[in-house]
Amino acid sequence: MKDRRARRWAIAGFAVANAAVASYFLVLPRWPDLRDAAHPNVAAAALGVLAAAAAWGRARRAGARRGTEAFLALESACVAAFLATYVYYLSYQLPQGAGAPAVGARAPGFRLPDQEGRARSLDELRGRWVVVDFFRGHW
Amino acid sequence: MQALEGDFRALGAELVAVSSSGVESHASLARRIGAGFPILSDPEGQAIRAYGLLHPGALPFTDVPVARPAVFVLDPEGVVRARHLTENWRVRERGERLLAELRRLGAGGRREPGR
Repeated sequence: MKDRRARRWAIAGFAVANAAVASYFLVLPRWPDLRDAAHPNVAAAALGVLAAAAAWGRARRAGARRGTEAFLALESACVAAFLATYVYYLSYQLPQGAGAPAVGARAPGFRLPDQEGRARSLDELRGRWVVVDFFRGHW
Repeated sequence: MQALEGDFRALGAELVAVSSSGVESHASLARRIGAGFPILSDPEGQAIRAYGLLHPGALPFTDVPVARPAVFVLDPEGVVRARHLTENWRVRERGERLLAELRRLGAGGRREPGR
């Protein structure tokens, strides 16, 4: 016997959890405010996991075949755990910054190619205020 | 940040961005965001290392150096006047805050006589 209600809940939970995780990474580069506040995505993913897990439990109690529910719940849990790990742990894994020049220190010079391939050096900008922004590449 | 480029210029400040990505990827980034300021390519980590920002192992299975996001404000003598080291590399410094800081430090004001 199939429990249609459990199946629907499992699919809904799976969809919510996966959408919450995927949307976080897809909107990352576009709206910095959303990226900085990841908690709604994490909460939505957690709710999705709860729904899918509840559906799995219901299917088990009903004695129905439950492979699909189990898969949906476990997959949701995995993606949600990944997002939570990324947001609350991985993104804090940084070097200490002990080697960074302190306020009042002379800024180390460098000479690097710009987006047109021309070599630019910090010395060219002596005499002006300079804001040097080190950002993450690859996005 | 690029939206505020004009405001930085008005204060007599230059924006310089640095990442470990290649020139090609910076060229397309600059086109996409309409950046008129230099975006420097540092795949060897020359500047990233000099500023103590190397973030080893940030990208699994590669040895591409990734910089800890950070912003340094340098005065006309090339001295660091402010620095912002991110605690969390998902979050980046906001241009508006930097502008306010530049004004506070005296950028865009009258040059002190004799300097």
